[in-house]
Order: sequence, then structure tokens, then C-alpha cells
Amino acid sequence: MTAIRSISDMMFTTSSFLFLFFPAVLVGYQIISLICRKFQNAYLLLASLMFYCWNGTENLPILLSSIMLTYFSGILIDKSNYKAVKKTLLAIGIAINILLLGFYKYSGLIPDFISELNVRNFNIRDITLPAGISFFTFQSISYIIDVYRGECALVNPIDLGLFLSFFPKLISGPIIRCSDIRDSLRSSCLSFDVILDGFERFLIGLCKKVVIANNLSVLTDSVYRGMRFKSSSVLMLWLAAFAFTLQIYYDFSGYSDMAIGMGKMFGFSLPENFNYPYAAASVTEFWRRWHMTLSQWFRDYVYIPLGGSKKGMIRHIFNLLVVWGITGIWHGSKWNFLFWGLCNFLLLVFEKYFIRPEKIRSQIGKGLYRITSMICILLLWSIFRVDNLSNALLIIKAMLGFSGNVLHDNRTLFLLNEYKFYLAAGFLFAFPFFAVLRMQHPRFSLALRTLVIAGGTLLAISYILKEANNPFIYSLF
Amino acid sequence: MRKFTLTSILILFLFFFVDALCITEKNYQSRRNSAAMNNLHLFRSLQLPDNTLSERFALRYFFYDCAGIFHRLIGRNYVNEIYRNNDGYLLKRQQNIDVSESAERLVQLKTFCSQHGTKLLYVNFPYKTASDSDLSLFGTTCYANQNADAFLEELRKNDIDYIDMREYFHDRYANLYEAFFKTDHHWKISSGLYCAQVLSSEINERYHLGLSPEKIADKNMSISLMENSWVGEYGQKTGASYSGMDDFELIEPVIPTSFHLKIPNRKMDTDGDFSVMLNKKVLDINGFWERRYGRSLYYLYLYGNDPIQTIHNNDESSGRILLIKDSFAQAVSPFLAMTANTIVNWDLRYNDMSLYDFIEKNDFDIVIVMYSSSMIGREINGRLMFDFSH
Repeated sequence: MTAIRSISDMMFTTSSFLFLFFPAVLVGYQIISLICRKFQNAYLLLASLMFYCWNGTENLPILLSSIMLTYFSGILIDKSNYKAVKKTLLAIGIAINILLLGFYKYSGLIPDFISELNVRNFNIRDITLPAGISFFTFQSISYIIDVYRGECALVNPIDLGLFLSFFPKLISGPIIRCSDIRDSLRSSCLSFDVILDGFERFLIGLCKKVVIANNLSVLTDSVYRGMRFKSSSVLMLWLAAFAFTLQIYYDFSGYSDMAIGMGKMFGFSLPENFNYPYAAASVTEFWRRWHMTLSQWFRDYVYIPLGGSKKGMIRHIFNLLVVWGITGIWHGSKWNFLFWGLCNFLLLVFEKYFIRPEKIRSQIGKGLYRITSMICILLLWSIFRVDNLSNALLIIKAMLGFSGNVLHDNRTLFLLNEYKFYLAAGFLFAFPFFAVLRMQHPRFSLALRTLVIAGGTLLAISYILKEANNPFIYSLF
Repeated sequence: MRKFTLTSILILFLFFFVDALCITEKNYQSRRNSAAMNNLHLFRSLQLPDNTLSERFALRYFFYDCAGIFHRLIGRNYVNEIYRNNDGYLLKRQQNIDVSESAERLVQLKTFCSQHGTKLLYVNFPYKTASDSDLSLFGTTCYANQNADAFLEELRKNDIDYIDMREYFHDRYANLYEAFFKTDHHWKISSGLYCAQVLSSEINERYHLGLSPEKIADKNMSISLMENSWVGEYGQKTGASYSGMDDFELIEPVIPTSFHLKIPNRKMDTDGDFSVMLNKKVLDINGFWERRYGRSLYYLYLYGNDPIQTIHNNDESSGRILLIKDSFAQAVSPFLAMTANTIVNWDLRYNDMSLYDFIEKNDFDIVIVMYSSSMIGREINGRLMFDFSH
């Protein structure tokens, strides 16, 4: 049994956020900018805290504690002149963050006989996972380390609080560094064009999430919810896996786009998180394009400090194992996530030391390898999607035809026909379609893109007004 | 073009923002239970449940129809858990359920009624799907008929009287869908009339209660057809532009009638002819969007689902009937009331009173439980639809 997770009820694609909270904060921010710019950050911090406790304040102390811990750790480390003291404070700061994350996120892994203990009427099973804890603890750790390295220091607690809790990226990233927004914290200058650019990015994210991801979730749920995969045809299993491959991309990248867009509308330049990952030529390249801020975080704070690839093959493989083990369990406190992480590790080692895809010369070979990589990614997403390890293995077995499932059935053909638009659009826009079109027909590309965004927004608002509940997948982490 | 389009969308968002701020108690007509609001209060309006907020936005109907048009364009036949068959009928799948608890509860009710000298009859209404394979086109099975068959089998074993309306409807309609609205899960008013005709005759034949089924013969009824006049619940869920609109037959008797209608929930205690049971104000809702999303013509008959409704027929002296019903009976009991002295409609979903006490205190000739197949084994508002002992 895992800890119960908590979602801020005000996700970006809810009516109350889109048509109440966000416009109110944006309009208020513009007014504050005109009246007294020095209160801009305080205003945004207040709005972010309000966002976080939209549906209850029980997790607010955790966020505030994290802010205070990070602030004081940073101050003490920055002010200290002794390296040993700095190191100790660094270790304490990191340890507390890890303990915080571990307690709330991984208590479900504690064996049943411990979790059944009731300590002063407190049951471990009743722990609520604070929304965004995986993200703000990582940012806290990165800040403390950056201060230790002398790369960044925020002396103003409001700035630090805003850095950790800025609402566009609070729940599901991107994972930002202090250096990413340090200049914007000091002064953010907004023109209407910048606001429109940000708004456009926000709308793209909205369309991705509501129009494509939400609709594909119905298709994937028809297989992955409960044990439905046991009675699904082989073709249905592959269709659901393909749909989930698209769903998770559009869900997560949609959120990131909305976060980046909103950040821009407030004068903050948040880092990119996705770069058309399904256009990658290999698994290695895929992970350079997927959730880039997390990959960079692990690279800079785990992989390189361990030695990276500079200390020989055995150590390199060990470092990759550590990184991917942590990556797996960062995504979830169930064993299938760890298994998923380790499978990625194996593929990366395989590519690095055996296949070496960068050395494939022929176009056909490259093409085949690209397709094989994506099939591997797709299979791994199936492991990611199910609710436990044994089901993950069962579903892979069924997909490969070893479980006696029928090859296809009416239901599969019906759902394929039903969701063909979303599957096709999802597949098309997973590649840099507009970027390629812009090179050849720039004006037509711009017109078409504007039309697609406008039509998609109209549709997204329709879906939102019709259906209120549509949580983001990565908010579960 | 890009700048103009983005600015327009931004203005639309700001419009929605202002609209959301202006949601007040005065124009708030949510059908769901929600927190009360006191006029314009920014922070309170921010705390509105999300679906409640969505239901109050201006232009929402336009957006519902946008989604509906889009779904038609891309050829979808499954929207919001509702299937659309080749004839345009909207259908919902019923799952396979365990009928034993429902049957057991009905047996308990029968025992109680017997102890008080009251007869018990179960009436099974047809579900929209004629057979389990109606949804085979969509690769799935609707278990409504299987559930009903299993339930009626239990009633047979326990010697409980029942009427399976499906048999009568299969005889009357070559295509069972004709008995139902396209865009709603309910049957047509003409189906409710037919059911009342069958029921009143059967009651007389089995129990000799002296009802007057001849009063509700077809020749005594006038029918006014209103074409493309409303959109049912399924249609509103999928979008009226997706489902299309339904016709509606307003059926009223041409013979003189005299009733006393009492609906405490609506503070109604009134006398009149048959029209006293019709909520004709619904027909005054005639705006373009309101006809599509703002009214349900089905509830023109008997106003809606109330905890208790009492219909006393001043022209009849025989037959005191308690109907434990769902919304399908809205189209039945006004006509049944023309044949009997008293009909009491009791809706378990909204009624917290003790049914057993009510039966004990009132001298009913017969208690009729009349449900659509979809109600078997179902819980609504946290209560099993066969939980009569509350």
C-alpha cells in the first residue's frame, strides 16, 4: 500500500484555474508592476502559496518548511568561511530534503508489519503525499549545492520562496535552477508581445493536454485500468501502449508548455523540458530530449559528482545504474518504476558499449534502429503505466503473444476507429512538423499554426466546460 | 493574423474571468448540490466546485455544441461513455451485476406487505437495448437484459408477482428503439401510456381492483407532436449538435378528468383536470440554447422526481396504489391515475421517510415496484434502489 497522494484540486486545465485564478493573478501582477515593482515577487509568492493550498492547507507547512530549510541552509553555507562547516551544512541540507521526500513518498514500501503499527493513532497508510514534493525537494537540493559551489545565492527569502514555489512549475516542473530565474527575480520587464508569446505557448500546452492527452487516456484506461489487459486482444494491448506513449508525452509536455508559457507571461524564462523526444534516433538520444530538466539535474548533481564516464567502464556502468535506479524510484514508489528505470539503464549500457547507434552508417540501418528504439520505449511505457510489477510483466508477456490473448477483436477495431483523429494528430505533432513546414512555406506555416492553435483552444475550452476532472499524470510524482 | 488571434483568445479568457466573478445566487441554477453563495463575493466564488463553475459560464452552450460538431466531423460514436448507434440512438452500457441482494430485499418487502394484507407487484420496464448484442458493434456487451432475466428468475423462485413489460413492448414495436427517445435514456410518453394501459388491465385481471383501463384507451387521447423540440440527458452530455434533437408528443386525454395533486416538495396542493399534472411552464422555455440545454420535456409530466407525489382521482372510487418508482414512471403514473382512485409515487432516491411505516399507516390495495432494468443492483445517492427498509 502506498501513501495516498494529494493533488491540488486546481490543476491548470480546470475552469477555476483558467478563468478565475490565472487571470486574477495576471491582472493583479500587471497592476502591481505599474504601482510598485518591488512587490511583484511577494505578490507572486503569495499567489503561489494560495495555489498550493487551494483545496486545504494541510501540506502548506511542508512547503514552507522546505523554503525555510533551503533559505537558512543557503545563508549559513554562503556565510561560512570553513569548508568543513560548509560541507557539513550541505550534507545536512541534502539529507533533510531526502528524508522529507522519502518519508512522504516511499513509506508505502515499508513492509506491512511495520506499516500496520499505529503510533499515537497515526497510521503510515494515512500519509498524504504533498503535491509537487518530488520537484520542490529536488530544487531545494540543487539550490543548496549551487550555493555550496558558489554559483548562486538568494539573500531575499521572498525570492527564494518564489524560486521554490512559483506556481506554474510547482506541481510538475520544469525543475529549475537558481541561475535560471535569478535575473528575472531582480527585474522582469514585460511587453505585450512577450505576454502574447507566453500565452501562445500556454495555449499550445492546453491543447496538448486537453485535446490529445485526455482523450487518449480513455483509450489507455480501457486496457490498463484494473486487470482489463487480461481479456484484451494483442492488437488492443499494442494500441493502448501506443496511445499511452502519446498520452504521457502530450500530458507532460503540455503541462511544461503551460508552465513555460505562464512563466513568460510573468517575465520568467523557464527552461525547456522536451525536444521532440519521439524524433530521437536512439534510446540515448530519447533521454536527452525527454524531461530534460530532470536529466540535467541527475547529470549535474549525481552522475558527474560520481565521476560520470571519466573513471573507466565499470565505474561508468555503476554510475548509470545509480542514476537510473534513482530515476526509477523518483517516478514512483512501486517496484515497477524501479524495474522501468533499470530497463532503461540496460538499454543505455547496451547502446553505449555494444550497439553504438552513432556508428550506424546506412540510412536503412539508422531507420530500423530508430524504430526499434521507439518500440523499446513503448514497451517500457507499458511497464510504467501499470500499477505493479507483476502486472507489468504479465502485460509484456501478453503483448508478445505468449498469454493466449486473441490477436484482435471488434472492440479493438472500434476503438482504433474511434480515436483515429487523436492518434493521428498525436503522432504527427510529436515530430517537428511546423518547424519543417516553416522552412519551406513560412507564411503558410504561421497561418496554419495559428489556425490549429485557435481551433484547438476552442475545442479545449469545450472539453473543459463539459468535463471538470482531468488530472496531469506527472502531478502524481 | 497571429497577434490578432492570440489577442482575441486572451480577451475571451478575460471575458470568462469577469463572467465567473459575476456568478451570483440570483442567476445560479445548478442542478447539483453545491455550497450556497451569497451574492457577489470574490473569494467565495473562487471556492466554487469546478464543475459547478463550468455549468454557470455564459457561452457554455456554444462550446458544448462546438465539441459536438467536432465529434461528428471526426466520426466519433462514443462520447462521455455514451454510444451512438447507426440510427442515431444514444445508448449507455449496463454492467453485469449481482441481483441476489436486490431480490432478497424485494422478498422482505413482499413479506411485510403480506403481513399487512397488501399485494405486491414488480413491474420490469424495458431498457433501451433490446438485447445484449446491441452494443456488439462497439465491441462490448450491455447486460441490462441479462440482469433483468436473472432478477426475474429470482422473483419466480420466491413467488413474487411480476409483469415483464419487455414482452409487451416486443409485441408492439418491431424495433424497440421506437419506444424510446433518441437523445434520452427514457421511453416516450406514448410508451408510458401503453405501459399504463397494460398495467391497469393486468391489475384488474390478477387482483380485481376495479380499475378503469378503458379510460386511457388510445381513442380517448389527443397527441400533439412537437418536432425537434428538445434534447434529452444523453444528448446534453454529448452536445446537442452531436446528438440532434428529439420530437416530443404531448399526450392529453380528451375526456373530462378531475384530480387533486399533492407534491409537498414543490408546495403543490391543488385541484384541476389532467393538465394539473403537466408542467407546461417548460414549454415557455423557448430560446435557441434553452431548448437544447435548458429544459427537459420528459419532466413536463409530473414536474420531476420528488420524494412523494399523491394523485387523487375524484372520478374513481377503486384502487389505492403505491408506486415505488424511478423516473420511467413519470410517463406512466399520470395515465394510470386516470384509472384508479389514488396513486402515490414514492421515489427511494430522494425520500428519507420510512416506507414500511408509510405502508402500515395507509391502506393501499397494492404496492407496485416499477423500475427500469438499469436500476437493478444500482445505488443512487448512496442507497441501493431496493433498500426498502430505510
